[in-house]
Amino acid sequence: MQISTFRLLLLLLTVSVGFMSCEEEVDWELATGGNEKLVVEAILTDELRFQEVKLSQSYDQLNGEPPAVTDAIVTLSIPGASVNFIHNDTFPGIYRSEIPFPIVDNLDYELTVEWQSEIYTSTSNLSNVYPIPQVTYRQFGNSDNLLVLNEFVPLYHPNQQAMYEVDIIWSHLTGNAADVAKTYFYTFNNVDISQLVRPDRADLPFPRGSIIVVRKFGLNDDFAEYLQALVIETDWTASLFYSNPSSLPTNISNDGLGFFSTCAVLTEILIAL
Amino acid sequence: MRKRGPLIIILQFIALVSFAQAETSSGEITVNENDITLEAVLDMISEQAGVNFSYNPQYIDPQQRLSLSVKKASLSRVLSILEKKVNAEFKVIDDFVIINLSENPVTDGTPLTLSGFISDESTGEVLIGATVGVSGTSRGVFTNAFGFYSIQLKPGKYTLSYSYIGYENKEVAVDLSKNEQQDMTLGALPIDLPDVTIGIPLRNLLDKKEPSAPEMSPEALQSMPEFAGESGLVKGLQSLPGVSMHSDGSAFFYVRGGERDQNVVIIDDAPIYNPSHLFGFYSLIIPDFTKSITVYKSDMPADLGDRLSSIVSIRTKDGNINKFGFSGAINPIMYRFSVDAPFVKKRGSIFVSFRRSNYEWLYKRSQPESRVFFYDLNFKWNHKINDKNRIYFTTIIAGDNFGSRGDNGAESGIKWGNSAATFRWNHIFGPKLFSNTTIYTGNYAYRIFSTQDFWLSGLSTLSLKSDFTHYTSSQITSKFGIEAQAYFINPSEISLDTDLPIFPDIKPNYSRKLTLYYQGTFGLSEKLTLNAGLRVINWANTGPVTYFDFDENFEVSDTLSVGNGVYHNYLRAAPRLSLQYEINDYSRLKLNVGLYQQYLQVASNSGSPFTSMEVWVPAGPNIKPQSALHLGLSYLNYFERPNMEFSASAYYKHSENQIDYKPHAETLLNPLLDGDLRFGTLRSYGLEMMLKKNTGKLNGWISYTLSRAIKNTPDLNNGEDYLAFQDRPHELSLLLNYHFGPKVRFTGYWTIFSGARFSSPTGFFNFNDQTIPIYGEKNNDRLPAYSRFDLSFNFILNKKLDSKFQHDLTFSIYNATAHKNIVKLNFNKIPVEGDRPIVPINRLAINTLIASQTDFIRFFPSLTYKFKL
Repeated sequence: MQISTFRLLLLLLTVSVGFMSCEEEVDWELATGGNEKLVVEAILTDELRFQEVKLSQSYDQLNGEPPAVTDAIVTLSIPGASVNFIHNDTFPGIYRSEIPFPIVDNLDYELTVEWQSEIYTSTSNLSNVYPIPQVTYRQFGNSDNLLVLNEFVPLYHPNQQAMYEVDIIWSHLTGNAADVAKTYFYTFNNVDISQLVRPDRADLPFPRGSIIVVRKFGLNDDFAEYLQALVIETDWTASLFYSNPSSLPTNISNDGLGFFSTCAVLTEILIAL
Repeated sequence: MRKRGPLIIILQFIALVSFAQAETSSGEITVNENDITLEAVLDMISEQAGVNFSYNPQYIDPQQRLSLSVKKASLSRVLSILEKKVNAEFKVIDDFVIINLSENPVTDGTPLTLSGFISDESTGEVLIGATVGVSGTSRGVFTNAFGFYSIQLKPGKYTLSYSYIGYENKEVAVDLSKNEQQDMTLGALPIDLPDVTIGIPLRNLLDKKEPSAPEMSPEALQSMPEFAGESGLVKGLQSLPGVSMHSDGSAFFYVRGGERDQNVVIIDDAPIYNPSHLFGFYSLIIPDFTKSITVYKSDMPADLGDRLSSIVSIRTKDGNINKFGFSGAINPIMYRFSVDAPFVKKRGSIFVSFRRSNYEWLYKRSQPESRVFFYDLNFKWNHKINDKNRIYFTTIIAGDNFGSRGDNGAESGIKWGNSAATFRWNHIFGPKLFSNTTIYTGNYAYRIFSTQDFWLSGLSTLSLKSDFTHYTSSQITSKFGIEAQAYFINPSEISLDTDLPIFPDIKPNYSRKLTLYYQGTFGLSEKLTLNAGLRVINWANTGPVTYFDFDENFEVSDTLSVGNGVYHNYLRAAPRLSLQYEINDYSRLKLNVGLYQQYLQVASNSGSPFTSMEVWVPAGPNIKPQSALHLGLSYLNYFERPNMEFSASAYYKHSENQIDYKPHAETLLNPLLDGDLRFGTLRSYGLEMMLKKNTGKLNGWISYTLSRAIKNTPDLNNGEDYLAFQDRPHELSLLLNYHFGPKVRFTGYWTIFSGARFSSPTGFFNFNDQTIPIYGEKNNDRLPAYSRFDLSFNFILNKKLDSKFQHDLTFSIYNATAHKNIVKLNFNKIPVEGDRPIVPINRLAINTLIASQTDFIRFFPSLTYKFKL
């Protein structure tokens, strides 16, 4: 029996209780404040490419627009060398490395962000990644043409924690550039109750012939802990069994938010037929 | 404007209390004097009542000094009080009152002991808390949990009064010249007669009442409006002042600001670790099986156990030793049946009760493969071997099943269940020494399974306890004993296919507890009673086991493997003390202080209202025992005329080594769980008030609780104080019973209380195209106030009230006003037209998130048929 089986069984349990529950939209005034902090999104990989770092600020309102940070100095360094990241004016808040390079093993990378006279630093070293499991999908409802992804990743593994970034593209079938989707799956080395009994989620159907690009990021323990907290606070919360809320951990110094991690990545591309 | 609500409620409550007090003030004589001569008292009475006293000063000393406090009382009432104080008889003839020496003059003889059992005349069921009073004196005792009493009297003739609520009083003349055993049976009054007054001596009644340990009779519980056909124990408890509920559908409750795992329900001494079915919608205890329920919120007796907030002690029915009985109930959600029968007539009986859900019709059409049900089986056997020995055996088996059959017929799902068994032996060593020896076991486990695979987690207890009660004198009763307990905790036992990832190996752990205890009651004077108790506890963790040491950063600093034997232990003392002062015949004041310990706790970082996969953890090298200092002051006043009582309790608790969790702590399958725990303090204080009318066509109660619960955990919330989830500043409840006639009763129950504390976001940021909440101060927000109105109509269907076959129909509505009581707020969903909000998963879509609220059980009607043969 896999963890996913546990989850399906507990879903039954949730449905049984759920028939007596009601959920509806509500106006709720939040006591917000203390925001506009620096947020670092930096997942650098072992692929030879222009690496990117995204900087933004925290904000007060749900659905608010994160202010982009465009005037920071971003540097990645290893003992004896460093690479600068240059702001891309076309995409506010995105900083691209001056040169393409891969993250390599057995090095401690330090990311430094200078912004508004403050210095934010973080370190990471490359994680391992293991082969991508077989990507599977199934027919969506009674539709002959539409498909949905199965939960093709193990929810638990003691030493192969991973994030799966899945892009689904069917714009080539429709001619509409907006016909793309992105979703994430995770494998962690522990089990949270809210993971087992997740709330109702939206469907993500796509037509046959869609291109599926799966990028598997191997995770270090600290980044896995961060990402698990992220999904506990987002995708997993709001079922009948949930963990108490808390802010996410971070490895950004100086009261910054977000995370810097260096990950080994595998990519698989397939066409869903 | 919002703050005026509670103030108005308090003012209304005070006005109601004042009204009630005014109602009692309709007597004739008022005396409020301390240390005054009898002569002066008689003069005051003569002046106010217009009577003259006649007595012989050679026998009645007019200069003897006494205290008297009566307010507008009748002459007969005042004389009755004086009779006790001066040990004389007062006879009223026209305008004269003749005073003579009592027929029971005090002698210098050695006190003798009268002891025995008091039981129900019809069933033979022993009565817990029945009173034995000596007429014409203030002396009285109560029966213990086994119906046994013992009273010391000097040789002489007495009239003893045996009484119990809902039973006819019995007066028996006794000529005591040697130690005697006198068993007594009392006849039950016809049920559901609203105008029946309680015929128990006032003093005894008041002595028995204890605001910090309210009793809830099964009858009172069953008279409350039902949810889905059952007035559950937990829902009944939640109606008491000082007891807060988590939310609808939850079996969790919080007592005086304490955590939910600081309460324990014990049935005939055996602990029930999860007293609920269906996640909490139903209580595990079958009402028909219950004889008495006492909730100790403070001043907990030393013999009962170690919990910081409350001990709910349930005593089960013994069964009818005289005749066969059959009762039951059925409704669309469940059915239950009970049988009690003499095993050996007049000496022993068995009681069997079975309950099972029958709501399959709710899901069978849509999910035919599902197997969802719960069940209970309760059994009790009692046998009176002889006058000095009696044995009891109780067993409780309860389970829940959420399963589904696959195509191959094999079932997968989750099961959880409690089982408990108790064997008790009562032995009377002599008229002054009563003993009870108990062996009990309690077990709770859940099991997730699929064909051959499973994930099991559980907790088991085995205990041997010898308890003695020594009735030393009329002023001193001592209770003492020893208890040895063993705990076996299996955090997770997993059996899986070998080609799947291996879960961490988390070994079971073993602990044992040895306790010596003493609890004494000392009558210091006529008005002052002292209760003192002490538990000395040795808690030991035993191997073989591998455990971890953690450094100041909660990182593993060492891994230690130990073999058989004790590798860590705690020795703690838990003293407690209370002083009760009798202000006058109508009122009592009690002060209590105590230090309590707890060695077993639940690790759960979930705010969910439902019982989920929890892990029990013992005190050990990384987890110090929890402790709490209780201070309490309670006041009880009885109003004779309208038969009402008012009680108030103020309390303060300071608890140490309180468990909280690091952010996003994982408690499942975590071998390093100890490192995810954080420890701090919990302070709680409050004031509980209750006004209760016991009899009459319209009866019921109103209660108000003001309370706060504040935590401080140095490693959380920047070390600042934060309000606990269970911080509920205001709680107001009202229960009304109205008898339209002898066969129709209406009950309404309304409660409103402050919402629970929770953490709401103070900001957001984006990562991986997702909106991530940021939290500030822990538990910075509060859910909206909870409000619920339940009602029920009970119709007795039998033509004659005292007919052999009794049956009735109860129609109830839970949350009749369909108030939306919010359990949780979410900030991560998108709206769906005509359906519930859902979590978005496409990160490239424009997802406009909303705040959404979840509530349970809006308007739930039920209809239940009950019968008794």
